[in-house]
Amino acid sequence: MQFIKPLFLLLPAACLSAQLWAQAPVVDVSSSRSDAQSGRGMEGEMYQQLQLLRQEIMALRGTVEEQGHQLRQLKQQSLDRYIDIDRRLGAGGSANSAMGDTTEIDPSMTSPTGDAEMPESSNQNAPAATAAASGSSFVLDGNESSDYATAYDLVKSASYGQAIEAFLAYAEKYPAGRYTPNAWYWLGELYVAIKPQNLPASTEAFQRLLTDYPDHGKVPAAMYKLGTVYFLNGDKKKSQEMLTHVIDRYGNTGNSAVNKSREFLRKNF
Amino acid sequence: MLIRIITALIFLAASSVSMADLTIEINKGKDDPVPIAIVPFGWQPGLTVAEDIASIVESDLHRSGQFAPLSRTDMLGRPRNSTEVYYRDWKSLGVDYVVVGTLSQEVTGTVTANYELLDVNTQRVILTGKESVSIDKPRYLAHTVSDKIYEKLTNIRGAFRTQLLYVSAVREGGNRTRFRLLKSDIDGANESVLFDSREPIMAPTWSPDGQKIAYVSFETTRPAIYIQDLRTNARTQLTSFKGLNGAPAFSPDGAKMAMVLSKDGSPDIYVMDLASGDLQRVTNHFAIDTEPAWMPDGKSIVFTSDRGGKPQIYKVNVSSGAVERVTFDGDYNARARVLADGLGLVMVHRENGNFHIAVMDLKRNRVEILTTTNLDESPSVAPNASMLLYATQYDGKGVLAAVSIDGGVKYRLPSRFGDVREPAWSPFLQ
Repeated sequence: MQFIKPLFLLLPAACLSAQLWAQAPVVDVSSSRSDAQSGRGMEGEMYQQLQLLRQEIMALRGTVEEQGHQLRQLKQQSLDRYIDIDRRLGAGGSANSAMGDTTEIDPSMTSPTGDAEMPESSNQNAPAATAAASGSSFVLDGNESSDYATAYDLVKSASYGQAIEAFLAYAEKYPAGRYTPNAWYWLGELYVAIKPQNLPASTEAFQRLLTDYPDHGKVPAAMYKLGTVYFLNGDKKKSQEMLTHVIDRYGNTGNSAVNKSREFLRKNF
Repeated sequence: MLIRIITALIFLAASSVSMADLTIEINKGKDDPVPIAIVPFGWQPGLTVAEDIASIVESDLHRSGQFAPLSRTDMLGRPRNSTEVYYRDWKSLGVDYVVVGTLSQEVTGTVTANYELLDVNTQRVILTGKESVSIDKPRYLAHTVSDKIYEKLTNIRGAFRTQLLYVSAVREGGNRTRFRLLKSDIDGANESVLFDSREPIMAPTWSPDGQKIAYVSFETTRPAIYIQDLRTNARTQLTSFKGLNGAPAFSPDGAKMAMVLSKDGSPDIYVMDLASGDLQRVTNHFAIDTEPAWMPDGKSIVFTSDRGGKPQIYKVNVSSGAVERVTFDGDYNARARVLADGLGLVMVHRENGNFHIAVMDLKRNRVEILTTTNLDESPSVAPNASMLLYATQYDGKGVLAAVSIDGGVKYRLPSRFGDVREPAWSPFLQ
């Protein structure tokens, strides 16, 4: 108890001196020493100063951690921005013209479902994409991956008409290509997204995927989409059969096409 | 929606009579739960089962928030198997799925449920199941059926057969408080007292196999960590170091225990090898390091520390001791628990001076606040990461509450007596 009392009295003095240290540390230490007459007071003051130092270090540590975090965030943001600008430059003016368009392409369906949808090295495809933007048309003059990326960029920039041509050209150029099933899938989607819709062509594209690549990862989604295309075409019976088939066949897999099929059946039948 | 909630509440009010000390009220549901009908199970003549199996299944699925069970009074028939089901009837009631079943006794002393799950839209049986349990465990039978149906329809492992630990404090005459460590089924039924003391009990936690628990007890008037075997109820005192002995956490392989000790000065994180008793100091800082929780790989531990001036979550590599800060949103983040997949944390997060439960996505570094009440604490996650339990205040009493990991479903589990705190959701039990 006797130890705590002088410590308590010293507290305001120590706090005050802490403020003064910021200006003249050396002078202040010697002056505060003269305040503490006894050895016990010295000890108390040392303890107090240690506490203050600890608090100061903790506060500084917190600031450093937060600034480091902000730096990492800024770095990431500037990288994202660069990639975004790069992509937009590649897509050219087509992105602007498509701004007002309402797209019917379901974004959740376009996300990769485990299969290779987009080649990973999208940066390398920048030249190909730029080529597409240079004229009103696109050029497939790269390899399998970069050509697919060129066509896919057209989807992203909502140039659906051009995207259809690009995917058709892609399917012709690479009949056994790694992304050819994806190209057929996109064609099926795109024929519904354009105006006017071309439902027979969409049906054909989806059927092509289902018959040529029955084990491909996009098959459940294509089946679901085909079911909805049948419905749009007025063929309710076929639509119901197809959607029921999706639920039966993929009910265990957790594929999002199953829930979508269920929902579609519930709403429309 | 409102009608659905009201019918649900009436149903729950009716069913809560059979429950033990915890009663469940759902106060917020998902916007579009899947409509499902659980038809009362038929039974073999002469067989008596102490519980209404279909009603328990109904309440399990309802509590998950992902299903909206059809009220029994609205059912147009009571089919016992799929051949008796008229799909058109169920379709007109707007139901997507129907569960039918019968109870029978195939072996003396047991009860068997044969049940089917039907998809009304496709008019097909999508699951056929058969489960047998001892006749005195009808609730377990019902929870098993719930798990199978839930798994079939959501592709997420069901957690209806899990259990819950919590601490209750009851004021008794003469300024004395009685503390109890309680265990119940996850729906509040089958409550039992594991340990009873005049001194505080804190921080109960499960071993990964669900066969042992650990907690802090002040029975010697000083905090000490105890391990209790749930099969034998045998208790062993694990630590009694000078100063704090707190926040025990079994490692994912069950071989080690992380804990907080202050024997060397300020509270730091230590790891004890349970076989040898060897102690390893994992953090060493003059600030307070506390509330350890293991990452699922067992290689690192997340903990709360105020080494940066304010309580935040940090992660330490157990072998190297390297520390990195995990949380940066807000000026208070504490008491983290890790989701089973290691991709997220739940924690106590302060915003505008209120303490809420928040979930943090460790991949995207995003924090989402799940609760709207104040003074929320001690989050504990279901082993399938679908829901979490936490302690909060309601009507001036400590109660337990649950919220789904997406924040869409909330319910309270008010205790009939005393304050209840520190829920700990068990792992999957065999």
